Parts: sequence; C-alpha cells; structure tokens
Amino acid sequence: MSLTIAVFIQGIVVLALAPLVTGLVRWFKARLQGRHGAAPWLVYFTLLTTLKKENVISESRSWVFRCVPFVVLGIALFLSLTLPIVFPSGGIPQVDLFVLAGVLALSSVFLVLGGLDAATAFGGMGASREMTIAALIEPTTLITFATFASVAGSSSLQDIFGNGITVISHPALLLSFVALVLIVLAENARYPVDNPATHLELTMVHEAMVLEYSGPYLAMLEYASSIKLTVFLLILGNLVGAGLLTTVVIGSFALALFESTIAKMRFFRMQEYMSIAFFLALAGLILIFII
Amino acid sequence: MTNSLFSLLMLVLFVGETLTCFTLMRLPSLLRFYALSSVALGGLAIGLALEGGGVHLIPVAVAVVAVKALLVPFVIKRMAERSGASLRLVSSLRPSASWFVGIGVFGSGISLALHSPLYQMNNMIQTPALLPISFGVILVGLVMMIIRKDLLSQMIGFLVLENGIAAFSLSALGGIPVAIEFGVYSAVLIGAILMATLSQRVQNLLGTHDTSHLSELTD
Amino acid sequence: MSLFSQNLLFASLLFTLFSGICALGGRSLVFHKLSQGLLLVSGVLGMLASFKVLLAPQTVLYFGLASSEFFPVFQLDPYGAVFFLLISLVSFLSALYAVPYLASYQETYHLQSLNALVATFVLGMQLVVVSQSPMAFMLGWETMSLASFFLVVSDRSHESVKAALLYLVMTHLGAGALLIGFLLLAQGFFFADFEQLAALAASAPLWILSVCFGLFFFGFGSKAGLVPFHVWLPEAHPAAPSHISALMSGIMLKVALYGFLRVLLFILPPIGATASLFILGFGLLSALYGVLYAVVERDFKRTLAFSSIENIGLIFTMLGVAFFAQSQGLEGLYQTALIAAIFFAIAHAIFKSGLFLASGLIVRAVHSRDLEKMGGLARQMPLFSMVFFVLCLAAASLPPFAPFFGEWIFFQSILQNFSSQNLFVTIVLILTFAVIALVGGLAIFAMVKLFAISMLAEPRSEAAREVHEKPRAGELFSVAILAFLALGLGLYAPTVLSLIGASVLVSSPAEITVGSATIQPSLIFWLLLGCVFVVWILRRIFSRTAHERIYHGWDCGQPIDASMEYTATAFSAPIRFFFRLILKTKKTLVAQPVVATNPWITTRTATVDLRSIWMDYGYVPLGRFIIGMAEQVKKIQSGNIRFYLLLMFLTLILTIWVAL
Repeated sequence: MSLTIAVFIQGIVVLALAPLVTGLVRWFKARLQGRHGAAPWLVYFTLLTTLKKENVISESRSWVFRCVPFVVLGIALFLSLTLPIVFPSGGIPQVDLFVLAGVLALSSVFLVLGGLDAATAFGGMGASREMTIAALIEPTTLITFATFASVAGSSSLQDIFGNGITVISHPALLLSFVALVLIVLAENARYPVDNPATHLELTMVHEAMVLEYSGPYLAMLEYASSIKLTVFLLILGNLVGAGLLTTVVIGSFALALFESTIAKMRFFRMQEYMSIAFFLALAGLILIFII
Repeated sequence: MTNSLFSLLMLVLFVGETLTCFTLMRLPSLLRFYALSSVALGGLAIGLALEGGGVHLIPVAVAVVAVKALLVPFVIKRMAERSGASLRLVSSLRPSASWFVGIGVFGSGISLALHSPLYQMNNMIQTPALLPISFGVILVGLVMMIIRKDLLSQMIGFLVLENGIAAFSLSALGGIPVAIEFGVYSAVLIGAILMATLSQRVQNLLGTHDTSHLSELTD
Repeated sequence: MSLFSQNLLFASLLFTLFSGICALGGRSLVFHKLSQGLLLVSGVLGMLASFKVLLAPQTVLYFGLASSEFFPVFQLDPYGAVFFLLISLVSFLSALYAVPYLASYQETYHLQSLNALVATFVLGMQLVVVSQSPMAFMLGWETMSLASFFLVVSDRSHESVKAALLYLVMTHLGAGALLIGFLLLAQGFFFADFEQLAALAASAPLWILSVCFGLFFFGFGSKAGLVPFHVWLPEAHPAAPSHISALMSGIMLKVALYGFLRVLLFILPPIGATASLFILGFGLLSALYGVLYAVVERDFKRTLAFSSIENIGLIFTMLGVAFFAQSQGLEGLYQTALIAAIFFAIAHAIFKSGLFLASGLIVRAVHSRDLEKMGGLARQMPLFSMVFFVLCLAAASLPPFAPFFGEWIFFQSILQNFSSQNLFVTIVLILTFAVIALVGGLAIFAMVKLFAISMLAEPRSEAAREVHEKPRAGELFSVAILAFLALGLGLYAPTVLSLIGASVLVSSPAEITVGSATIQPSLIFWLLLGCVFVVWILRRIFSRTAHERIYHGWDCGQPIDASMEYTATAFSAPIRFFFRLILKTKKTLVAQPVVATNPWITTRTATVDLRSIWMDYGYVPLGRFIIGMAEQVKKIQSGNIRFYLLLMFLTLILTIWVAL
C-alpha cells in the first residue's frame, strides 16, 4: 500500500492503543500487588474527562507555558507517524536515528521549560533532574542506535526497525538490547529512574514538570507520555520479533513485573545507572566489530 | 722610516704612562700621567703623519693634545679642588697588585688582537704593530673603570679607553676624519665637565666619591 | 560590470576604513550613526563580493598596488570567500545593532574611539581573510588583535583591564608562534607568498614540519580558544561590549579557524595520524571542558563564552577526524568531516553572534550579567524572548536548526566508516562519537538553563521586575535576522554543504548523500510543524478554549515568592555533583552563632566557588615559576656601576674569544 496510507493507519493505531498500554501497565501492577485495580480502559475515560475540566493557569507563566503541551504532543504524534512500528514499511525513510534522538531531546527541552515556567520549586527540581537524565542518557541512546544501524547497514530507522533485525541477528546485540531497555526506562520516566505514580513532590521527576498543568493541557501531556511509552514498547517488540498485540500485552506485563520487583533509585545515584547503560551500549558497539 | 725612532719612543711612552695611570693613587699624579700619555699619543700621531705624508694632520694632533693634555686635566683638577674631594683615590687593589693586573690585562688584550682577522690581513693597515697595543690599552681603560671605586678615576679610565680607541683608529685607518675626531674630543671634554659636576654633587650629597654608595634608586 | 565587481572587494575594505575615520569625527551621535552606516555598506559590499566568488568559483577577486616585491597582493579565493561572507554578515548586523545600542551607553563608552576601533577590528579580520602572504596575514592578524584588546578595555573597569591584559599576553604569544612558524617554513624569506611557502614546505624536513605544526596549532588554537590555551576567553568576551563580544566570538574565532585550515589545507603537506589525533584529542578536551563549565556558570556572558569554547572544540574534533581519515586513506570521511566542520563553524558564527547580541539587550535590561538576578523577562519582552528562544534552540543543536545538521553530517559519516577491517580507526571513531554525544547532551542542558533562568518564571531581582529599557527596533531586527538565518541555514543545508565542498576541497566534492542516507531538513521541519498544527486543531475541536482561570501556581497553600524558585546554581547542581572530580567546586559553609548564649542559633553563609583547573594547576604554577626565576635573575641588579662594567667587560672578552 502507498506510504501515506500506511503512515496514516499506523498513526491511528498507535494513537488508539496508547492509553490502553498505560492502563494495562497499571492494571497488571495492581494485580501483581494484590489489589483489584482499575480496568485497563479507564484511562480513555480519564483522558476524556480531563479534557473537559477547567484549565487553571499560573499567573507567573509566560507564552512558553502554553506552547509546551502542543509541542510535546506534536512530537509524540511525529514519533508515532515516522517510526516503522506497525508496518515494516510504515516509516518515513528520511527520518533517521539522529533525527530521532534530536526530536526526543526537543520534547524533553519543552517539558523542562514548562516545568520551570511555573516559578515553583517543584517544577524547578523536576526540570533540573529531567534535564540531567536527558543529557546523560544521550550518549547511550546514540551509541545503541548506532549499534543497530551498523548491523542493519544503514542509519534510517526504516531500515533498522522495519528490516527484521532482531536481537539474535548478532550476539552483541543482546547487550545493546539491554542498554535499550535501560534507555526506554529512563526516557519514559519509569522505575528505577522515576516513579510515575508518586504523589510526593520530592520524588518526582516527570510528574513534577507536569504538576502545574491542568485540564486539556494535562490531558495532552499524559497522552503524549502514553504515546511515547507505546512507541518504545513497540520498538522493543519489533526487535524481539513479536507481533503488535503480543508486544502490547507481554510488554505491559513485563514492565509491571519489573516495576513491582525493583525500587526507585535515589536521584544522586543516577550516575551509576547511566554509566552501566553507557558501558553496556559501548561494549555492544565495540563487540560488533570484534566478533 | 726616518721618524721611526721618534714613533717608537712615543709608543713606548704612551704604553708606559697608560699602565702607570692604572696604578696611581693620587689624583694630581694620575692627571699628570694621563696628560703625558695623551701627549705621547699626539706625538705618535705626528710621527706617523710625517711618515705617511699627511702634514695637515699636525695641527689636528696639536689641537687634540691641547684638549686632552691640558684642558681636561685642568677641568677635573679644578672641580676636584672645588668640591673638596680627597686627593687620595680609592681602588679595589693595592698598587703592587694593580701593576700585575694591569700588565696581565694589557698582555691578554694584545694576544686577543693578534688573533683577529684584521691583524691577519697585514697589508691593509698602516701600522700593524700599533693595533694590538691599542686594543690592550682599551682593555686597560675598561678594567680601570671596574677596579677603581671613585667617580673621578672611573672618568680617567674612560678617557684612557678613548685614547685606546683613538690609537686603534690611528693604526687601522691612519687617523680618523677630522670632523669625527673633533666630535669625539668634544664629547670627551664635555664628558669630563659633566662627570666633574656630577662628582661634586655626589660629594655634596654623600660626602664621598665612592660609587658603591650609588646603588639605590631614589623616588 | 566586471570592473565594478572587481572593485567590490576593494570597496568593501575601503568603506570599513572610512567608517573608522568617520567615527573620530566628533562627539555627537551623528558621527556614530554615520560610521555604523558606512560599516553597513561595507558589509553589504563584502557579502556581494563573497557571493560572487562562491557562486562562480572561477572568479577570484583581487587588488594590489604596483607589483612591488614588498607590497602584498590581496586576493579573495573561494575558501576565503566563505569566511569573508561571515565577517561581512556579522559586521553588517552588529553595525545595525550598535546604532541604537551604543546610543543608550553614551556615558559608559567613549563612542568615537569605540567605533574607530570596531572598524579597525573588522578591517583587520577582512585583511587576514584576503591575504595571500605571511606578511599581509600577520599585518591583518596584529591589527585584529590590538584592536580587540582596546575594545575589551572599553568600559575601563578594573576587571575589564585585567581581562584585556590576559588576552593581550595570550594573543601575542600566539602571534609570536605564528610568526616563528611562518619564518621557519619560509626559511627566513618573509616576503614569500602562500604558494611559494607550499612549495618550500613540500621539500622541508620532517622535524621542521612538526615544529611548525606545533607552533601553528598553538598560535591558532590559542586564538580560537582551545583548551588549555583558552584562559583568556571567559574573561575577555564578557568584559567587552556586547556587539564586540558577538564579533569576537562569532567571527574572530572563525578567523583563527580559517588561518589553521589555510595552513593545513593549502600550505603544509598532509599531516600524519599522530598530528591529527593530537588535534582530535584537544578538540574533545575543549568540547567537554567548555560544556561542563557552560553548564555550571552563573554569569550570562561567561556561559556563552564557555559554550563558544565547546563549539570550537567540536569543530576541531571534526577537523581532527577529517585529517585522521585522510591519513588512513578514507577519502570520503575526510571530505565530509571537513565540510561538516566548516558548516558547523558557519552555523556557530550565526547563532553565537545572535546570542551575544541578545545578551547585550538582556544585560542592559537587568543592569547585571548575573543569571541569578534575571527571570520573568519573557513576559516583559515577549517578541525578543521568542527570537532568543529560537537562538537557544539552535545553540543546543536541536532539529530543525543548522548546527544539528552539521552534527548530523558528521555523525553520519562516522557511522558509515565503522568497519571490522580497521579496528584502530573504528575504536577512535567510536570514542569520538561517544564523547561528542555526551557533549551534545550537556550543551542542551546549558542552553536550557540560560533561556529558562533568564526568561521564564518570576523575576529574581528588582531590576528584572520592571524593565525600563526594552529592545529597540534595530536591535531586535538584527537578532531576529540571525535567528531566521539559523533556521534557514538548516533548511537549506544541502545547498550550503555542496557550496562549501566546492570551495574548500581541491578535488571534486563528495556527494552530500552519505551512503544511503539523504539529508532533507525541510521535510523534517514541515512534518514537525504539521504535527503541532494538527494537535492545535484537535484541541480546539475537542475542548473549550474559553474554559480557563488564572490563579497562583501550585504552592501547597503557602505564600511563595520569587526567592523560592529554582536558581541557575540549583538547576545545574546535579551536573556539578556528577562531575565533581573534574569541576572541583569549592563549597564552604560558615555558621556563625548570633547569640552568645545559644550556639544553635546561627547565621549560615554558603559560598560555592567555581575553580578553573587550568588556572589553578597550569597557569598559576607556571607564572609563579617564571616570577621565581626572574627574582633569582634580579640579583645581578646590585646597583653597583662597577659590577655592570665588569659584566660588560666579560661579555666583550667572551664575544671576541668566541668570534675568533
């Protein structure tokens, strides 16, 4: 089928699935922790009702505050359109791994600015932490993607993720896969980097930045983070070679299991996390050429 | 060389008096010997001129002698008397040691000059024998400035240096052009006057002519 | 027409000269405006001349007086045209900026000398780029250095003088090294031109070439701001008036880069692997060190200065990779890395000049360079803050702006050259890749800090609360042009890259499709814009825009004020913590009891001291050593005349003895 239709359908699928993924993760986590848990499709209703709520805007904000949700959700939409996650040929070939890293950085930048614009200490703290994490995870991201690109022979995401490269294409890719998992956890504000369900401001990173948003803006930001999580889970699934629904279900379960067994790390121990991820990625890349 | 004996006599006098200057400790005798050595140099110049045929050099030599042998010592002696300087000069060496040092310096100057390429090309210079001697005299004058502690004898040392340079030019070129000669000698005269004035000031300020006291900068 | 175009170059230089002369006319603002106007004209002419040379590479513009051996011929070849274009553009915009800007600073700066010096500075840089012989080059270089020294001292404050003296020492050490290098290569014949030098260098022995390379590296590297010769940059750039900082950081560093590449590409024979690894190593060091200090700095303009050091380090890394590739025989990597370096240099010139011009406006508004006193300026100067935001995003190398594509080309070409055949090359490239990625991430941090603390949230001081001096039309316009150029250069990256390739590489330029990857910046830009637009439309459809209320921020019900928001120090604290071994921040906490009876009630003072490890462990010990040696040598200054005479005597004897 033609490229535009494939991209369009892919975008719709991801947009539709995203809240379900978040809901599934929460539901699995609840069940694993012995609670009944809300139904996985409750997230749809939450988003719709949040959209209708009143938008309370801080009086200390500037024009950046209003731009942030649009840009962040726009970039999430961009991700869902351009990555070949549903159809193998469904990506846009001109978007390659460096553009992906740059666009992800752009979305982090806007989120951080939104957090700082509220003139509260919580927003500042979350922004400072998020920016540190984003800055320190960038070399790992680039090296991991470069590893996959070296195996695929091209740097276009179309060729990397849509080509049928799996973890077993090359033994060193196992290391890179682990590094990629660590990156996904950091980018999506999951354990052990951040707790997405906390209500204690001093333990927030991502949540602190969206603390100031309410109503439609909050819905947009929540939706954007769901889309990002879905996109990354589907990328991981592609690399393992699983289909769409399997990835969604098994991936959510795996994430929930992981989050239930491990504790969140202290922020000031983040350098250990980052170093482990970096050295795994570096080892993966170097081993590609040695083995 | 009809006047060669005359020239030789003048040369010997010149060297002897310069070396004696090096060792003298009293101002009047120092000035007298300096005057005598300048006269000897002038005589040497006249002798060489007569040999070489430059008769016009004779009045120049006479004028030079007048300046160096008469005017300069007079000026210095006047200044020394006016400032009430002690006529006994101070030196780092005792007279006997200074004889040895003087002769040693003179000898090393001669040996250095003997190695110079200028001396090797014998055919270019008028009086080859004078060249090493003049270089020796230059060094003697320089060392005299170092050894002597007070201002006036340092000035005399400088004048001896001048003499040596004049002798050098005499030997290498057969005399310096008149204008330069007069320039040099007027510099010598004015230098002598200036140094005498300076020494008077130093005497007024410090009560002594010893230059080792002049080692601190004032505001 | 050809006569006109032939004289474009000469006219441009002439107008710069006139601008300088005109500035000295008198005290009134008329002369200031006139001189800046002449500088504007010179800039336009310069841009026309460069475009002419770039677009028709066979033409070469030159002028020279009668072909006497001693008078240099000035010639604009395509390589020089790239940099001449930069100089003309930035001087044009800074002249536009200076007309209203300096008018508000009439008491602080002596306008006549300032404008005359600016014209001299620009003239010096123009001369450097068009010169074809070492003599002309050094003439222009020295003019540039001396003029910029006086420019740094413009406001005659104590710290400016100190900064300027440090700058003077470093720049003259560099100029001396350059002079020695040129003389060594020319074997004493100073009036040779670059072609003759190249011929001489081709047959020179290896040790001379190595020494010359080291001297040129020191000379150009110290002017460009490479670590460890960079110590003058963070002092001098903040001290100068802002449009001068823009000229210095934007173009003067590029002129140093021009000189370095002129020597390496056109004069010296291909340097080997060791020399290129040397360049690569220092480039990486500068990039890392620069970005770390940019992140933790709290002075607005010092952050920008350190960011310049980082970008220059990045450019030198790209050059190091290029020459390393050349030595290993990888022609494709060599060409693309070289083109990427020059493209990134152009992009840096544009956004850094814009940032410094913007900094002038911000510093004037808040009356301070301290980031901790700014804040909330986006509400007071909204249009300006949008332009500044664009520049900050460009400086952070984010898509779709120009520096991102420079790095993109570089990363792509490195990626294509990972191979299992040559393991050594692959390891070097991988390590470079990793460090540059880290530097990129931290650069984003630094720029976000800069923008957020100065523009967003509540004002942190009284001066920032009520800004009286808003940006005027000319100032805003020049900064906006630079912001648009940063975006435009990114969108037109493929065209520009092929232009650069044609002008720099002697052989045919490589395709700018690196392997199977094609660069299409406009697609990415429109796609991003499209997605944001779609989201905007959907939001309008699915929710009511009128349903909103303005209220306090989330404050847990407590009355919070501006002192409780995050400061620049706080924002960069995690980086300061994670890199504490490199940064060596000194933190002192002094607790003083207030009441004698109760030791638990104390006033606490916390001081966070940022140290420069290069000064502490490098320059200060070196300085102390040199001064110690000088103290020892000073002992022969006893004041005793006879001792000096003795020394003269000994020297005389020694000289004669040696000569004979």
